[in-house]
Amino acid sequence: MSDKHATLRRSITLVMTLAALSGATFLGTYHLGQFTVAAAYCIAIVGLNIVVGTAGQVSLAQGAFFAIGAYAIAIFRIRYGVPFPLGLLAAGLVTSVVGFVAGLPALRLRGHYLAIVTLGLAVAVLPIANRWSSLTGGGAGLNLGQVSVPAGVAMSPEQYLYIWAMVLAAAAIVIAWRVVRSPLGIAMSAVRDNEIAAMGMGVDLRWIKTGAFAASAFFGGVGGGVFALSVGFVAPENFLPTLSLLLLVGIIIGGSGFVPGSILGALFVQFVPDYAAALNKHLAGVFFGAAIILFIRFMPEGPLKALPALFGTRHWLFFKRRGT
Amino acid sequence: MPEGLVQVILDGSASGTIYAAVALALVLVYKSSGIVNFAQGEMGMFCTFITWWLNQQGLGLLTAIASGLSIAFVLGVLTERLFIRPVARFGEFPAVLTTLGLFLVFNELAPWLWGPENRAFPSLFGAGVLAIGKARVSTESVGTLVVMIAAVSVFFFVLHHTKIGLGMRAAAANAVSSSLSGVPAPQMFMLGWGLATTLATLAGVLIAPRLFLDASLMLGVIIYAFAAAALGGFTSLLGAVVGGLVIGLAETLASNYVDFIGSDLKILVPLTVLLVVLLVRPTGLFAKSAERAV
Repeated sequence: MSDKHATLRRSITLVMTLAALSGATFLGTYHLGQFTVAAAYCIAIVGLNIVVGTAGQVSLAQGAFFAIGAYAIAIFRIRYGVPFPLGLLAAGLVTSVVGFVAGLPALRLRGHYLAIVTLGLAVAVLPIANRWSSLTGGGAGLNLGQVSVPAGVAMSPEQYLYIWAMVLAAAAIVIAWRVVRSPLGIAMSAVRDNEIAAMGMGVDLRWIKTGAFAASAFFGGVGGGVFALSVGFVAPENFLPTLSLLLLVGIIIGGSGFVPGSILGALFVQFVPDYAAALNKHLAGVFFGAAIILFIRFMPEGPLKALPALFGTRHWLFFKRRGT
Repeated sequence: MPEGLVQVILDGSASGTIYAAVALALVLVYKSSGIVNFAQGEMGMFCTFITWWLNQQGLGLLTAIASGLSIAFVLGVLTERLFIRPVARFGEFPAVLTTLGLFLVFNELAPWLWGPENRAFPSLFGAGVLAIGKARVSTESVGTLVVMIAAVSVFFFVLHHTKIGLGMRAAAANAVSSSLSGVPAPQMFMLGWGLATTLATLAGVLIAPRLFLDASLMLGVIIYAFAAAALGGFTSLLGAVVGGLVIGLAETLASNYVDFIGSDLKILVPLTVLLVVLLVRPTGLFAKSAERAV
């Protein structure tokens, strides 16, 4: 019976991917940009889901990784003229090196200590970007311009980037979802649930923790890169420390540890502010904060899992039943 | 000793006492509820806004501050009861996330209610300058130093020489045993949150004249306070105070005498201290040996 569900899951994935891609044909330029940024958030939230949701390491550094990825692609494009798909890969790799180093404190620190140190990273990005102006353009930022569409492809730059963003987001989800369910992911969950017991079972904490940080930073960097390409401009004020918290909202809305939920989380993070801003610019933040508090209190696994349970159905759609 | 140095040391100590107050608030909450309150600074900022608003409504500055501090106490008590206690039993992770949610709520509630502009906050001590020997220091720094030392002394006196302080320490040390001995532990936790928020608000009121009042008032301060609290291993009240002073002095000395750091990179000073302390001695410089359970 798990076969039937696997087919259903695949069909859902296919339909959603096709629906997302077809958006390129009917969305206007403004909405294309918005959905591209939503895909950028989605990729970053997928990464955060690996380190927080699966490995259980509280990271508030995802906003910093997002920023590093955005600056990396801007610098690669402006200084070296790297084509943007290659630039995205490079941005992800550079960021994952930073993520690996940022993961080192996780070997000694746990829980709130790790949250504080990673928050420190998120806070430090702003003054460093401002000061290191020879590389980052300082407060004035860096201008990337539009992406170039290869000859023979009849698309606007926005459409072309949108397609790339959707494909990358889908790839991120599929890769992360597979990793989470692989033996590696199970080892990560073991570290989350009980470090000492996991160690006793032969899990090497050093590799799992730094690896989880490096992987989450890779996705964070690629997400930041897509963001920079879509906005066409990178400046310190895009990466306030609260960005890390917004991405955290994303995993809580989607369900911590449930990778496909990142789609819902990203849509929430990208579009709720727009509607809330119609009333007041700051209402969105209040709303996000309230969402964290309420979801943690009443639906700690996220609405995607809590709602089916409310109606008495198992979440068979997402999980193979064990032992059948 | 050059006059400039005296001034820098006094300014550094004044900042240090502010970090110490917020660090004390963090330690107080950590000792009672076992969680780090990421929203502590923002709660202080929010109540500083209330104080400012009361002052704008025509209340005298001292009355406004007294009311602001009382409101802060109630806010702290209610936050513990309504938001923290229901999730605390699920462990540290949900509680930390809840405080991050509170952080966002207060951080955005203030500009929503009062607008995003910078507000000039009146100083309790005027804008005068005192001459100590040849050195010239602002009454602001001296006043902050005096008020904060007084507040921290009162706080320590209450905690160590009154019955209610004994109850708080007992509840923090072991909630179950102290309940069995007749200490109302849940009320003690609420009291801890109330006092912590009052301290954070006092810090906000004293620092607001220097930094101007807006939603980011405490963003920097909370990082310094984290570093200060970590120096004390998050469990030592004395360690938090000493840590606050050390961080305040280090920051002011570094930004005045190290060209590379200057005023824009001084946030890296507490971050470096924090990282080094946590990596070398995660239990802090003052903490007794920690135990670990499976």
